[in-house]
Amino acid sequence: MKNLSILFLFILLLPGCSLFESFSEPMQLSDQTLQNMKPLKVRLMANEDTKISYDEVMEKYRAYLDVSKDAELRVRTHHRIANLRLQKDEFIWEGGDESDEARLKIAEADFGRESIADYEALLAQYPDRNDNDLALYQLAKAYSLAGEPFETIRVLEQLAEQFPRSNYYLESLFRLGEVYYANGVYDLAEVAYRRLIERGADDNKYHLSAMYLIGWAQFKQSNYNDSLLSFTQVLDYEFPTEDDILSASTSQQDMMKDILRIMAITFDYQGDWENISQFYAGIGERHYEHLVYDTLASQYYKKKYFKSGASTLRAFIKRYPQDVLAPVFYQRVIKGYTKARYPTLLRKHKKIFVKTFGVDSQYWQSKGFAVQDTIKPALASYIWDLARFNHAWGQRIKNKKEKRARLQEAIDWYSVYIRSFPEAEDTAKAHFLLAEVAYQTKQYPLAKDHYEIVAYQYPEYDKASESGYAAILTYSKHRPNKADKAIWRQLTVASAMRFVQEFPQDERRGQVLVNTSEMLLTDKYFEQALATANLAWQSEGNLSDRHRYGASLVRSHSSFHLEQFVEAEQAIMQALSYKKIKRSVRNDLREKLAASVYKQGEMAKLAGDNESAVKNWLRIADLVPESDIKVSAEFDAATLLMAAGKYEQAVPVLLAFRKTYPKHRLLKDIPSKLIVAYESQENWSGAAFELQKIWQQKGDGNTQRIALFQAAEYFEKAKDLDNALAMYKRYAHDYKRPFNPAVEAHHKLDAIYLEMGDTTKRLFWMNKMVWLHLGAKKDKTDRSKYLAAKASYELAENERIKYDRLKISLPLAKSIDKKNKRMKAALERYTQAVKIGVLEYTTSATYRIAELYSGFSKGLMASERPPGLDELELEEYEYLLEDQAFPLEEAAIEVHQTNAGRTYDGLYDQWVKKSYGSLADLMPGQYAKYEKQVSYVDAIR
Amino acid sequence: MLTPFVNLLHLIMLVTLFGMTGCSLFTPKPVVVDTQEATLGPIDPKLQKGFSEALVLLRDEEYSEAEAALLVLTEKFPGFAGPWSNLAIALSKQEKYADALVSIDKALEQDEKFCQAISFKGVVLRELGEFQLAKEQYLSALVCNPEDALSIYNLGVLSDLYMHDEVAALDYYQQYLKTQGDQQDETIKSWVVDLKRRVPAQADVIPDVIEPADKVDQNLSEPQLAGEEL
Repeated sequence: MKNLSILFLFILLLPGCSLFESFSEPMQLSDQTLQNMKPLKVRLMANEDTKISYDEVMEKYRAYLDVSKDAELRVRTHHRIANLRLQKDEFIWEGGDESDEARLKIAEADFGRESIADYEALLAQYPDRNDNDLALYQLAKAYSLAGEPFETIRVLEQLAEQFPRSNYYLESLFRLGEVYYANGVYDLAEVAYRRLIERGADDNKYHLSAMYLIGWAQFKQSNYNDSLLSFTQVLDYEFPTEDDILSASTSQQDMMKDILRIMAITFDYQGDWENISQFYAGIGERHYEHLVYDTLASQYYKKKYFKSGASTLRAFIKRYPQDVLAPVFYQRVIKGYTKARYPTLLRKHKKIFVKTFGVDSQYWQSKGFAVQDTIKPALASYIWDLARFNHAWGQRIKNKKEKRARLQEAIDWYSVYIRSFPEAEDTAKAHFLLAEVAYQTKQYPLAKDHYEIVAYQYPEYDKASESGYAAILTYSKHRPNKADKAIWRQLTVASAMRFVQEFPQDERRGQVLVNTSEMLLTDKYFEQALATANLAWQSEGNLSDRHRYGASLVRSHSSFHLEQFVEAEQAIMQALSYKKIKRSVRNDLREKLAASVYKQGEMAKLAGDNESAVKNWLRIADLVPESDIKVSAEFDAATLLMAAGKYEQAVPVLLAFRKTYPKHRLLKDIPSKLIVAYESQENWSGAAFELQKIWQQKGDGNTQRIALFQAAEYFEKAKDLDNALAMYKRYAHDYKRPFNPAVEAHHKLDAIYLEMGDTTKRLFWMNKMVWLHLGAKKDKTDRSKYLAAKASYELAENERIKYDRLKISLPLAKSIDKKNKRMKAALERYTQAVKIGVLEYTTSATYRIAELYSGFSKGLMASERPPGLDELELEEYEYLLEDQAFPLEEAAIEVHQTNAGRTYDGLYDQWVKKSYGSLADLMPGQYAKYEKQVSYVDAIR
Repeated sequence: MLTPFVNLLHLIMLVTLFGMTGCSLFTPKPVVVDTQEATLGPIDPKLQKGFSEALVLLRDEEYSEAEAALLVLTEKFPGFAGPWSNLAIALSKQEKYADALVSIDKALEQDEKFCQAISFKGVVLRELGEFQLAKEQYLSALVCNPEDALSIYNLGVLSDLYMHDEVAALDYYQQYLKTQGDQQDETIKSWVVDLKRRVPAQADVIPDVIEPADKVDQNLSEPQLAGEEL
């Protein structure tokens, strides 16, 4: 009770300045109860500063009383002294005089006792004075100082009763209410305040305080609804608009806070946050309702009633979902859960917040930028938190299903963030993280989209290049359906090219280019693949061996397809320098290397550079000795050398080819080439042997036949007569037709044996020639005729020589018979020659026939005479001889004349001439006639 | 001038040459004849000398040497028909008839009326079997020199042996004999007799001998025997 009194004194003695002040030591909410809750202290008047001591002034007034007789003045002086005494006590009470002496003095004297006595005496002495209201007022003060509330009440009641028009009337009522209140007499306090309120606000400086305090008084009496209404009236009165709240002075703010605080407590006391809405549903909406909710929520949070706090705030949001403060309140809900460390609820409400106030919400869309801007920080924070949380959880958790769900949620939240804050500083990061999660969940198309966004829409972002590279990797991870594969590769390539353009300094540029070029190659974009691989190659320093190998491969394959075979060769060589190539791949590469070089040869040939073509084809053997192409290349080289007439070079190649590939299908073409080469080199022997091979090859019979003949000819040309003979013989035996070459073969055999001096064999073949011709019927030719005639003549000559060697000797009959046989044989041959009908041999044969006759005739006549004949017998013998010889001579003449007769036809050769000669011998009278001619011409001109 | 004509001047020259060459004293040295000296002036002494030496070689049947000498001479002095003709003779004697024909034609290029060359060409053509051309050549020779008895004789041999025209042959032999006047060759006269036996009884072939105009219209319907009056 003493404390209350002391408090009251403070209120009573320190009026003025601000009406309300905050608690100097705010009471902890947890410490407050309805019993110990108090209104704010109220100052109603200011103290006056005194220069001199109260005692000195009072002493002076007492001195006046000693001498004063004027009753009125004496009364006033008493008043003055009583007043000063009271002021002095108040001063000391308030600590104005800190001296121990003063305090001791007051304590001993009891506060206000002297003043009470003064005023009681004064009132007793002058009960009817008009200014007794002041005395009563001072007396009430003094009682108050003296700690006698009931006396104070009594005096104040008296003052209010007796002086309703007094200047102290309103204050008296106010003090009366306070004293009642301070002493727990709340109903009377309420009455006092109500009386004060009922006096109206005009000239009533206690009106607002009374309105305020009546709420408290009602509260103290547990009249909560009345209390709430009273406080509502204060708020309505003092803060009729939002602006009034905003422009409220500090004391107004203090009062409002206090009202809100007690209202919040009241609502809580009544039930919970739902009572707030019920209350305002009853009395109508208020523009400061949110403060009530806020205050209650704050109280809950102070007490760590996090859910209650949240519910309170959400009650407001529920009641005013479109209120600009709704998102703010919700942020507090979330903040509360954050502080409370309720993670599940926290995330739940962050989600709700995003849903309720996010960019997709009706709320967001209905609000202007100003409101949206206020939401943004929280929205961003929550979305980001949700995304990061799910992202982290998804990464940590083992359960696949859950993992996927979490990561998907992270993707969703990153998406929301991006959609909500496309211009935010960390949007790039959101894209990046989204891409990362999408990649992790194998949503590659989504991942690459966001990687690319990061890389190319946020080039300044520190992970831009990493994203660009990641995009490419993501492309490569994706397994599109068959129909989309090509498109996907193209997109990959485009992304990769973009990467290398945008991040030319990136150390992965080279490998990206390599991978890109590989894809381009797959799609058969050879030019692009090549260009890309070349770019990769140029960034050599950054390439691993594996990528250098890849680049080389692409360059080689592309170049090859583009018919840039020099480049292809170079690239393959570079590829082959890679150490880790599988054997099969290495083999393929080497085969391609061979093909590249071969193609260079082909190109060179097309360009007319045969030398280069050959050079290329021949170097395959050294470069890729195991290559299958080498065979064709060498053969082609030889063919080209042949065509260019470079037989010296061509021949060794062809020979080597044959030796190296004894079973190659092209082998059969080699002889014909070698033949041409040998022919041009006049290497007849070589050509002949090749022809022999052709003849020996199975195949076209006619080709074999021609080859055989030609082989024979070339052996002959090469002076290899043995082989020539073997070939000609084979030909003569095997091929009677076609006729002409058969004839020539026979003739050749004749000629060669002639050259070799082998008469026997020659005769054989001459005889064969004759019969070949004679049997040829319609196939006969002038050539066969000539050769047959010649052969026949030669055969005749042979017979003639034999005939000539036979001398007619005794016994004559035997000798003649032998010679006759020889002559007959010769004659038959000569006749045969004549019949064949070649003029050259007709005249000669004719001459020879005639000479045979002539010779036989002469031989007979010159023959040895048998011994022992007498003259007569000898004469008879000679007659007999002449009888034998004469017909022969006649025959000779006749045959010679046949020859001479040929001059009719203008024929006059040596044989005809010889026949004329013989005729001149046989018939000199008729034929020994010779032109006359001068030995010389003497005329010089 | 088919027969060497010896006059005093020529004799003197022969003696001179003889003394220089040292040949047989018993064989007269051929005399070089220049029928156109009066109109064309004297020939180059070198030519004169070379030609004369060649004639000696021919006379002595040194044909190979004569050929060589005449080749040199014709090269140095190609414009003279005489050396070309003698070169042809040298070649012909060596049975180089084709070459002889070329040379004789060269002679005729220099002087187409060089009668000795025309006649000799007939001999060469006959050796080459060109009997008809030979005949024409002989006839041309006779036109060139109607007194060329050798060509008439040669026409006889050509017709007889090679062209088997006994009628013509008979005529030519007879003409030839006629040119011999009183000293007719007995052998040829025997030929005439032989031919007359062998020719057809009715010889209606008119020989295509080109005679001087006053002889063409003579009736040659019957072969004329040697010495017969026309």
